[in-house]
Amino acid sequence: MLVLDRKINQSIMIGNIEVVVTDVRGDHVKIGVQAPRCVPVHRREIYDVIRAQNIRAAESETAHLNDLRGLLQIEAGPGAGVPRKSA
Amino acid sequence: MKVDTTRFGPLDVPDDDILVFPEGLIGFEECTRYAIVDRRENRPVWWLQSLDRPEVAFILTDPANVVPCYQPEVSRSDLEAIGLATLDEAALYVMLIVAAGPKEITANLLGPLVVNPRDRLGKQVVLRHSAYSAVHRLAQPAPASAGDGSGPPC
Repeated sequence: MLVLDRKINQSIMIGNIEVVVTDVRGDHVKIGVQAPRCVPVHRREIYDVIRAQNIRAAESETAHLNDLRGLLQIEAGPGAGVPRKSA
Repeated sequence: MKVDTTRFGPLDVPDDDILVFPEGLIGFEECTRYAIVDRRENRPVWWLQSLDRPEVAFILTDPANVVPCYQPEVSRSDLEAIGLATLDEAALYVMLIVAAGPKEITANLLGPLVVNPRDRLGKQVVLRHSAYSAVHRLAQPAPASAGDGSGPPC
């Protein structure tokens, strides 16, 4: 991993993405990210939680599907339905 | 296209029914093409079956089935990524995680799936500054006597 020394208000460029150190207090570092809007920027731990949930979700089995019905607040009827191109 | 799936056997998915998640799902970036498998006996959940990996399928439901007033703040850039201007145009789904047993069923409210139904484009959105949980445990149903009209607050 490339490790660079930066002071407050100094930045690095990753392609066209700028990462700025805006403040340092003890073991807290404030980081600003200037990135095109199409580049998602997330805290690593949130990304990791969703990734872990997706992996667990992909392993879901049908065995307990019938138990779901009692747990969901079902509105009888078509609901959101399946997106159809013809809509 | 014809695909062999682990859970549903062979599926014949018309091209117009293919749902494309250009960025894949988080942790499944290589899986970009999906079909929604709508089995009457499974409603109100649907399966989001990967067309790229036969063993990958997710259980989806309408978030209204999980929490009464789900109002995620989806950023404009996330909407633009799938060709939408407002969330009103989108179909929203949340994933259910059905793991060890019925008491372990959770919903991922922090990373909903936002779909442009017109162009059949989708994206898994990570909500920012959100109080919604990625591990929202499905509550036991309220006893029947709770029908006093005082539903959960929005």
